[in-house]
Amino acid sequence: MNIPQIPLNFEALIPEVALTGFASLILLVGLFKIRKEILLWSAVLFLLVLTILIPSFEGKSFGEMFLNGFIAIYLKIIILAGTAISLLVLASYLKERLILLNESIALLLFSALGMMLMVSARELMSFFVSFELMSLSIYILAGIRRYDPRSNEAAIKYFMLGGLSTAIMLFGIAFIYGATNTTDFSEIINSISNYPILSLTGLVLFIVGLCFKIAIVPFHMWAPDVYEGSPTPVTAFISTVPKVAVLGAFGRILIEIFKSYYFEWSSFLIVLSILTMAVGNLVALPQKNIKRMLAYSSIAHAGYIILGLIVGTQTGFNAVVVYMLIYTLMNIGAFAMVILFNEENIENYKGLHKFHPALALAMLIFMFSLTGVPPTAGFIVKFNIFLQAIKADLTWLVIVAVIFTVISAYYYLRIVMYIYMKEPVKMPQPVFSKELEIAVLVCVIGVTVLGVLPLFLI
Amino acid sequence: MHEEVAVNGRIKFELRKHLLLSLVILILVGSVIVAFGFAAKNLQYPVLSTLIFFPVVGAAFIAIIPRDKEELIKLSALLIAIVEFVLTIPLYISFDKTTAQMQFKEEHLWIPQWGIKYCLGVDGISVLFILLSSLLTILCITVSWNEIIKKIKEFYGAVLLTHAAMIGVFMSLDIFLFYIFWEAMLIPMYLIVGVWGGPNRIYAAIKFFLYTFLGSLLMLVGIIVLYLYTGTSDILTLMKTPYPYRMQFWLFLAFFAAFAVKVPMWPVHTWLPDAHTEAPTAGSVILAGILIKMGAYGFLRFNLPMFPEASIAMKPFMMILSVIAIIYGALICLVQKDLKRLIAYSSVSHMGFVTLGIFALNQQGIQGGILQMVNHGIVTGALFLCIGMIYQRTHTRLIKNYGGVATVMPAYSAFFMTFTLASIGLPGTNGFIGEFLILLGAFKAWKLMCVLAAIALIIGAVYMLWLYQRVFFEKTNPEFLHHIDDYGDLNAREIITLLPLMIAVVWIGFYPNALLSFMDISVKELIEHVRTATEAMK
Repeated sequence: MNIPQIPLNFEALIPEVALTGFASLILLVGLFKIRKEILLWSAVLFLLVLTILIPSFEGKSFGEMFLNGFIAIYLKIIILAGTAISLLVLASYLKERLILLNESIALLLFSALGMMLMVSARELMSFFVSFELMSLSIYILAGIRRYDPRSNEAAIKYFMLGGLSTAIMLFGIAFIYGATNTTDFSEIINSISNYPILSLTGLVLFIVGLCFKIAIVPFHMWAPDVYEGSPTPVTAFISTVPKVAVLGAFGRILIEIFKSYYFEWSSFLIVLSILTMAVGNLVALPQKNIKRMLAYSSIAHAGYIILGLIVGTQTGFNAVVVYMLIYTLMNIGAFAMVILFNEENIENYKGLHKFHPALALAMLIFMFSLTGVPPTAGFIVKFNIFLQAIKADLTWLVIVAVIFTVISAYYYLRIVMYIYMKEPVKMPQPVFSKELEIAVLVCVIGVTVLGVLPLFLI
Repeated sequence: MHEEVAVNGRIKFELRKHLLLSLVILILVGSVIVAFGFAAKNLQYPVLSTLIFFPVVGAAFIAIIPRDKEELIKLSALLIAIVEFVLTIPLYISFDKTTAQMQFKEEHLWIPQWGIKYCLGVDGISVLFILLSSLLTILCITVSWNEIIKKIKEFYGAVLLTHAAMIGVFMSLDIFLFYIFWEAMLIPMYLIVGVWGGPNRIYAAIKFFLYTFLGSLLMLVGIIVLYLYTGTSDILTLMKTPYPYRMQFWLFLAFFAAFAVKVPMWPVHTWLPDAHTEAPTAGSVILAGILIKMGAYGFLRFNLPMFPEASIAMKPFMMILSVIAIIYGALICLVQKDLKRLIAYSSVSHMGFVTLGIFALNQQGIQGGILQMVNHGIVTGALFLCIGMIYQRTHTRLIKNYGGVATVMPAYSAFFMTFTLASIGLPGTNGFIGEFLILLGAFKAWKLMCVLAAIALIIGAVYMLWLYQRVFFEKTNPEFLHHIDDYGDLNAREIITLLPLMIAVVWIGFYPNALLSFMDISVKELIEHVRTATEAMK
């Protein structure tokens, strides 16, 4: 067999290689008696440096297999920054409970690595491998509280259902390979229409597998339980950053590779989008546990986000990408507030304003941003999605989304109402730590400043 | 002995308050003089941006004052509001009444990716509301002085932020910017109603938010459609663009959804009685004075000039809805047991007059509509202030608990009488001019509607005078008289609060041209625009 000579060209891959090295180093160094703060802050610093440097590594590696283009870089910036903030949130939580820190940091970094590879992958096998790297690291993170049965349950559930969905996705990949006889994206594009039945079956299975990861109804069943059971910082992480990566990869595959099947997958996604918005928003209404409520809220957000994919153009996809940036900030922020307040029962949020006005204000900003009320950034990105959808003549779908947005206002405002308008029932016992405060501050500034000056738009 | 000390303390306290108050008045007078000096020259600074951002900065300043320095918080809020008011004065002096162009224009590129600009300007239609809003904000702060006792910092911050967002709505010349201000105002307003309101405040606040939010989001869809059709978000360009009739019709409905809820027109008015009733006095004043005017302003700024053909087609429908609101609101007022709720429903009726005037689509109707908006802001604002003052003494708003107030609070009764008469529309008060112009316009447009609205005016007189009779005359209720005795008649702070509004009532009543001259040209231009746009389409 004749193997063609392809240029390896490692240059674009340097950030990923560095991250691999650093994560392994953290594992190794963690074995020695060393102050855990040093590990934590060096990891945060490393991620920040990578975030700043990554735009300079634009290019391709391994021929066409790995592409560090503009969108990929944008996504990686979100992933790295989101991981850094999550790391801060996670560290303060774990430190307090004396849970192994270095392993957690390394796992978080490895999952970030998987995501970075995933958004750059231009080939189905490397896509799948990086997808698994991300998923497996997260499964372990969900069960990091080893002696807590809820955490164990979450991890097992996540792992079982995740494994099932991965299998379905792999099955889909096999179908696509069968139809096109290649795993390379640019070649798949050319031969995707050869065997429509095989390709379409592959497409559906593939979509199902990915929809599971971003918790699209009806593949969302795992999400509330896993979000509730996992340690809150892990929930903050898995509800945001992996979704960035999966949606980034998902969007690219749908828009670029399955362009010729646009009608098929977009009608499929329209149904899923309406279902997701409906179930996410309506089920969030009666929730009594704030983590569960936020879980359903992020399901609902996934519904708005795939509106941008349904558009099926590059600008629609761009809208999804910028949505993910703000979504990451506000969702991690909201979960960080839950950790700060150290309280999961919504009832106990009553009257918190009386004790902690600054925290109450931060929570108010996150809730209004999640609702999508200006001048927060949540509005700008939602506007962007609606704009793209109306451009594609999906006005009726936007009106559906608008109605569900109004419904969502009720449960977000309920939190604000409890905090500001009710008399306290219980003295709150917030857990302050400087890492957590920094994380919340970054999110608040991001959500408000970017709402007034949307510099992040592409 | 102890009593004497207490009395002494109280006198000292009162004295200090009066000193503070006279200081404030001195500053006010002084700064008015300075402002006049300023205005003599051309306005060199971005006057509109200053007006928007000064209260925002002020709110930020209040946020950093320590929580326990309550007097300082109140005083600085008052000072900020007064300075804001003074800053609006040059706007009126340098305003050029001979042109319908946008004045004091400011333009900066804001979101280059979408070509959205930060663009401000005022014309004869919007300029009056800026003055009205600044004036009412001061009064809201003085009336809340003793009424608001918890979370003072947040309250005054929220009032200032609401003011900033509201005047932003009136100044925006970019539809996206307009929407930002339009929605941003919901956040502080939701808090004002929900945190400092009456017993049923949470229900009222949520209802208020959800109603307006749904309407606004439907308008957002309309805004996006407009933006995609024309490729610009500049309001002046959007006005000049002709749209196909079918599109006009749908867009009219999308904008109607937002504005009708805000006005509020029948049948989407049900949030208003709840919000008005439960809000603290300042909240009611802001709601009645400015916030609901934004809906009618939206009709003038967007629906009429942008969708002229649809406006003409929808004219009968809008006029019928307005008349239903007028009559329905008035009839409901007759059976209200709660003072505040009664005034709230009278707002529905009065705003029906405003929309009736606007959709008469002629000079008199629209001018009357705008004037009536200002009048309603002054009179209803004043009535809410009055109710707030007496509620503080008696802690009840039920009409049946009152009676004979005139004998114990003569000054208060005089104020209330003036505002009652203005609300009825007695000649010599501002209410008369507005309603007269509206009826004139409506008569030209559709005689039947004019007759029905005029009949409803009589019901208006009935409920207001009957209210006055039940509260101020009749047999006195000793239990409540006792409360009033503790406080006595209006104090200096309260009189100063009500006086400017009373002057405005009489002044506009005798010399309406003071306000009408501002909008003359702009309204003429608007009517002309609607006519030519419709003819061009045919």
